[in-house]
Formats: sequence, C-alpha cells, structure tokens
Amino acid sequence: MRFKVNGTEHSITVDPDMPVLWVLRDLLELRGTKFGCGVGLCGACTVHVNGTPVRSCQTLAREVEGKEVTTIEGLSPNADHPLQKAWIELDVPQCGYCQAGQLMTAAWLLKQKPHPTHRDIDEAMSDNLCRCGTYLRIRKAILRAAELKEGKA
Amino acid sequence: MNEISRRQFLKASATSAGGLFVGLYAFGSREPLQSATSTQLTAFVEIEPQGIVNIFAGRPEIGQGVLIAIPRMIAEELDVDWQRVRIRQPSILAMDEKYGDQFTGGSTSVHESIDPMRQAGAVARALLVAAAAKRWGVAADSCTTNSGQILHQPTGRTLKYEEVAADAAQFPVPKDVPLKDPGQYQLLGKPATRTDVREIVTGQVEYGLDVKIPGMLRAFIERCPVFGGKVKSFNAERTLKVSGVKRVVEIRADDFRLPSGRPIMTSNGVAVIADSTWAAWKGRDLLQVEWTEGEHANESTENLRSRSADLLPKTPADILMNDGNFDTAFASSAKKLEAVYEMPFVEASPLEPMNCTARFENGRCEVWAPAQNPYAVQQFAGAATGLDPKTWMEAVTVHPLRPGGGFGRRLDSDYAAEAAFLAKAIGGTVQVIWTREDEIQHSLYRTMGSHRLQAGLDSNGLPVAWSHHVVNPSRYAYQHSTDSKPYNSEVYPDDFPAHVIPNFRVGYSRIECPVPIGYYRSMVHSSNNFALQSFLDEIAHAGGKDPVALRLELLGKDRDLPYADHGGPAFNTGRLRKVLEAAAEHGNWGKSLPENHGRGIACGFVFGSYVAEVAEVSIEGGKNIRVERMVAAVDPGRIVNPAGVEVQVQGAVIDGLNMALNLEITLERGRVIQSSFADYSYFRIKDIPPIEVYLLPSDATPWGIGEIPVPPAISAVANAVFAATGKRIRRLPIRL
Repeated sequence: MRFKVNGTEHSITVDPDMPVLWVLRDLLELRGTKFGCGVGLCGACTVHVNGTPVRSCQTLAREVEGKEVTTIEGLSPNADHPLQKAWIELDVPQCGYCQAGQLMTAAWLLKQKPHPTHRDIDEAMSDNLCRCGTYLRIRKAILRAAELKEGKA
Repeated sequence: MNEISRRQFLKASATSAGGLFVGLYAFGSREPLQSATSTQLTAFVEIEPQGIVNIFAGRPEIGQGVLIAIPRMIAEELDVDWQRVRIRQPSILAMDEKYGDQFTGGSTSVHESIDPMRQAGAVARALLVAAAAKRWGVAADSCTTNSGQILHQPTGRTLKYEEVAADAAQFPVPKDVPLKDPGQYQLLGKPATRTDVREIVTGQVEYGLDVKIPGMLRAFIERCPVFGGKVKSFNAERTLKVSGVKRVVEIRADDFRLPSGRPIMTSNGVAVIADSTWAAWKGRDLLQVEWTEGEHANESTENLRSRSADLLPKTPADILMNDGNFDTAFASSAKKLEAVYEMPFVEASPLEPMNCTARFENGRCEVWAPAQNPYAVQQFAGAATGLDPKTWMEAVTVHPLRPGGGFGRRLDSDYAAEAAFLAKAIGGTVQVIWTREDEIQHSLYRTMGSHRLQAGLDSNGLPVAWSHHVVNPSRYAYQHSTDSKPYNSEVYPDDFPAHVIPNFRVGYSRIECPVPIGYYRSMVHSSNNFALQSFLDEIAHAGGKDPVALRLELLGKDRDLPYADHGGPAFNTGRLRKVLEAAAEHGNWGKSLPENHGRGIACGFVFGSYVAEVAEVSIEGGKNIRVERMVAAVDPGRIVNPAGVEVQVQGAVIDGLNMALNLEITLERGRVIQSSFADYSYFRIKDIPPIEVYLLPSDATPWGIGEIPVPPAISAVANAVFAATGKRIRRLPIRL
C-alpha cells in the first residue's frame, strides 16, 4: 500500500489489518507514537490522518491507503510548533509518555479553535490520559500556545 | 550532615581527552551475594577540555524530576555555570558499569543523594583549585571559584576549570571538604526547568518499549486468568501458522524464585514469540490454552472481605503497640466509637505497559529494562535464567531505559524475569510486551485491607483510648521477606495519633490471599491514612470539636515523638501543626460553602515529609461527586527544586483523587474482573480541579515528595463528602 507519513511517500507491503500504530513503530521506525492500551481508550497513540486525530491502535493499515499521516515527529520541522514551544516554556511533561498523543490532539484543537476556552479544552483533550497528572500544565500550555500563535510575546 | 558513608568513595582520574573525571563509587552490599570488592559507579562529574561539564547520577527518572534535582546538587558545590552542564542519563553508562544503589522508590532519592552528591561536586572543585594553585605557585586557600573559573584573589589571575582539568586528576582526593552554607546556594532551592522537554515533545525520547536491538523478537504472554493457576495443555497449531511467529514457549513461573523464596513472576502462562509485534499479537489471539485453575479458582473480593470481617473483632495475631490499657480505659469512657474501614486492591498502571528486552548468550544475560530498580532487574533476570547467584553481578548486565511512568509498579522486575527466561529459552533476544489488559489483570497490587478502629472519648470529646486492628494480605509475606515481619509492610504503629493518646493499641492479622502484592505510590499510607484520618474526623464530630482543632489539640506542644519506620526516627508535631494550619488557612477552613458542597481536611507524616490537604467537593443529584478544589501544604525539609516539588504534589494529589473516587480491582472466581481503562478508569483533564500547592520548606534534612500527598488527598475527599452529605465514608472508592 501507498501512503504519506510526515510528508514522505511510502510504498510498503503490509498486512492490511495491522494497526497503523505498529506500521509506524515497527515498519517505519517512527517510535514517537506510543502504545498505552491498544483499545483506543488512552490516546497515547494519537496521530493525524488527513489532518484529523485518530487512535492509530484502532486504525488499520488498509484505512490509510492513499492518505496522509502526521505523527509527533512531523508536527514541526524544528520543535517550533507553538504547542511545542509552550510545552518547553512551561515544563509540561513528567514521565513524558502520553505527551506525543496530547500534543497531536491539542494541535488539531488549535486548528479548529485558535482561541479555545476551558470547555473546549475539556472536550477535546479528555480522550488523552496522563497518569502523571500533568493536566494543569497541559491546559496552561494550550492557552499559552494560542497566545504564541497569535504572535503575542 | 552525614559524610559519605564508608560504603561509598570518590575517585579522580584524567580522561583520555584531557579532562577531569571524578566518580562516586559504592560497594554493592544490599545482598550477601556480592563480594566485598565489587564496586559500582553511582555518580560522576566530568569536566571536558572544551568546558562542558557532564554530570551523571544514576537514579532512574520516572517523571519525578531526579534527572534535574541530583545534578543540581553536584553543580552547586562544583560552582559551575548551569548552562554549561549536560545531564547524562544512566543508559549511556550502562554498557560499561554495573549498578549499586540505583533505585527510585520510597521517596528517597533526594534524601539519600544530597550529601554524597554534594561531596562529589565539592571534591571535584577542590581538585581543580589545587591544580590551579600549584600552577600559580600559591596557596590553595588564597583561591576562590566562581561559575567554572578559579580566581587568585591577590593577583586577580583566573583559570577556567577545563584549563586545569587534566592536572587536577593528579591530586589526592581530599577527605573532608567543607560544603557550602545553604545561604550561599545559587542553584539549590531555586526553581530549575527540566532539560528533556524538547526531546519529549519531538518524540525523541527512548522509552523501554522503543529500544531496538538487532535481531530482537517480540513476545506476548497468555497468562492464566486465575491467580496461582497453571497451564494444563496448549494448542499452538493456529498460532504457528501466523506468518512471523517463531516459537511458542511455556513459562512455569512457579519454578523460579529468588534465593529468599520471593516469586519473580506473577503468572504461569504461554508465550508467543514472533519477528514483529503484530505477528506476536495475532499469534497470541489464536493460541488455545487449557488451564488447571487450582485452589484459588473460587477466591473473590467478597470472600476476602468476609474472612477479614471474621478476624477484625478478634484479638489481633500480633500486637504492635500497647500503651496503657485500652480495654479498661475504653470500657469506662464517656463515649465509645467504633468503625470499620475498607479499601480494595488497586493497580498502578503506568501508561507505558510493562515490557523488557533481554538477550542470553554464552551464559551471560543482557537486559534492557525500563525499571525503577535496575539492581532488582539483575536479580530477577539472574534467577529466571538459572545463573548462580554468586555470578549475577558479572553475568547479568542491565541497561536501564527510561520508563513511561513507575508509581512503584516497576520496582518489581517480573517483566525482566519473563524476558530473560524467554531469551534463554530461544537462545536470542526477546522483547516481552504486556497489553493493558495483562497489566490490569496480572500485576502486583496495592493490597486490599480492612481496618477496625475503636476510640473511647472523655466528657470533653478527647480520645483517651484507641485501638486499631489492621487485617490484610501482607506484601512482605508475599515477597518471602526474611528480615522483616509480615506486619512491617502493612502498618506503622507510630503513625499519628500514636503517642498523643494514652491507652493506644495497634494490632495486625494476616489473611491468606493468592493475589501478588506490590508497590503503589505511598504504599501502606494510602490505606492507613484513610482509616486514621477518617476516624479522627468521626471523633471530632462525635465530641463536638472542629476537625482541625481536634488534630491541633492532639498534636499539643511542638516536640519530637518517636517514629520507628521509614521517614523516622522522629516525627515532629510542630511541623505537622504548621502544614495543618497552612492548609486550613489557604483552604478557607471554616468559611461557608454553597449548598451540596463540603470541605474535608487530612494530614500525615509520610516517609519523612509533612503534608496536610483540604478538599472541596460538590455533590450533584445526591450521587455524583466532583472535586472542586484541592489545597496542599507540604514541608519536605530543605527543597532542592521547588518547581519539581510543585508538579509532583499536583500529580500525587491526582493519584490520590483517583484512589478516592475511581480505582477498584475486584476479584471474582479467582480472577480480576477489570480489563481496560473503561472499567478501571482514571480522571481526565475535564475532571481535575485547581490544585494549590503551598511549600513550607525548612532547613531540615530533605525527605521526599513523590508519594507524600497521595494519602491525605484520599482522606480529605472522604471527609469532604461527609461534610457535604452527612454520610460517613467507610469504604473506597467512594460511592454514594
């Protein structure tokens, strides 16, 4: 099958039922996308398919034929997405394992809602579990990223 | 302050690149298996010729911030520009060195590191000064340092550390180097930012599951659903037809133990090994296994509760404390109270599921493990591969990898035992991966428990007699602990309100249980604090006293009381009083709240640190509980990194809220019923209230923070629910 990942075209032979999570991690060596539960309940595996966040553990290889997948490695060329900058500025992570999924969901949120409210953040981000409890910093960082996107200092 | 103990020593040498290397070595003597001469590097500071300072300190980073805190201690005494410091992670050294005291648990990392680490930095500085002084032909004590430079005051000459680094290694390591007065600190006590965020937000950090070893295979294990059950037979015909599946191997966990008798794996099962994760997953799905469920096939939470209930009113099997005469004082007291508190098993579920990679070749084992205790990995892997315990230090190499969360679960190295066993079975390299369902159902658990509390109050409402009977399965018993009693892991008799109530009795009775018992953030305190602080609340209400006032009255004058367990030897009532007062003040204790809202307070002395919390809850429809606000006041002694402390408190409080309101592992028919984050669920961002953290540092010896705020969060919420509803909570998780 053929599909794009982070702007690069790939043509691979793969079991069409393999979850995209394992295609990315094991076949394409992109291990920034994480395995947390395998049943779509924790969000650690979140990637974008044609710009929309999906759980890659529940998305089969056949479903991304001809589509564009974006992973955490492709969120920005230089760690300079406003979310990444805000995350660095505010020291968001603890163990860090959930953060790729959090960022991918948040990136989509900011695209839909450049000025998200607390309620918007609640609704968009509640599919992403953080066991370390960095939620308070995540919320702050999303609001900060919105500011940075605006060009505010 | 303690000197570096006789078990540690510093050694200096020149690096081949022309720099200075000062290493802190420890003798590995936690087990009698080690020879007295084996040493391990536990920390180092290295000055490179270009002026970069590499600092390594080996405690695993599980998100709790030791990656920052410990290097800061070294850098402070070394007197170096923090911007020139590079923090090296343990995995870089793992190829060359073996490990001693390298575990992360019990909230001990800062406490145990602060003196030896500061010494390491101070010694390196002293060597650099000695080298500069010699080059100038002046006395060393006429030199000072500042930010990576040595300065000769009288002549104004300067030399950078890197210019004398190679020479410095020639000087003898001084014995007693004076350390900085805390008033001179430039780094310690100031907030430090993490140095790994860029890597994390670009997906570059390598966690356990991310490791890639050439030729490695992947394995999933189908484990017996019933605790203690065994494989009767299995049919791998369909499994072996899956493209990529290589082998199917039975694991008899019962065959392997540490020399002490401690189990090293939780379950018997059958492993499917394949050349890819997906093939192993599919292969496991197609595996057919018949089990001999065994004697525990009918075990259940209800049975365990019932057996506990039978024991609770009886005389405890062990009396751990017996001040005065409880029976007499209780019988003659003006008011008598009694309550039974219960809590379920809970499982720590770090977000990265258990996993481990191992290779076995020519009688040597190599393990890549996201672990909290690399030393235990060595032991568990050694035992699983049948190597002679006397050879483990040499024959088993451990490469610690960064874990996606620990929470105590990763202190048990069963995942390493499984990987090592399979690596030997197939003669290759295997990565064992657990699914979330495996994690929830085959883990090691914070034990369930039942607590019976009785108190006799005088006519002023003050407790004058107190009895606490704890009944549960013991972790030390499960671990076959040889130098402790089963109750030592389950109850700390000196916990407040011990020593402030006359006629005080604490007892323990163990129940048999097939569930493996492990570690979960704050340990015994997450159960006991709920019982103790809820009961104090009940006493307050029964005696017409405010809950804060009662605690303050019991604490009495500021003084030290004995505390024999982890965090002791003394518990200071004044420090607990201060955090209690701070939490009450910032938590608006006593001020009015809207209808259907309630406030609760709880406090604790947990592993050497002092904490008090106020919870505000709202109740909707008489049933749904929402935590509206949490306030935590914490005194962990001298604080190394206040920024790190604040986020640890917030994370720990959230863990406590989950234990209070969500987490429950239930046994039926000998097996765990829960199986995913749907029925074993954690709070999400929408559920989290504001969590205000007030730090009350002191000059006291620093203790920990990672676990400390968990227990009082649970108890404060339970007390808040009572305040809001009038319904006393006696069982976790809280249900109305």
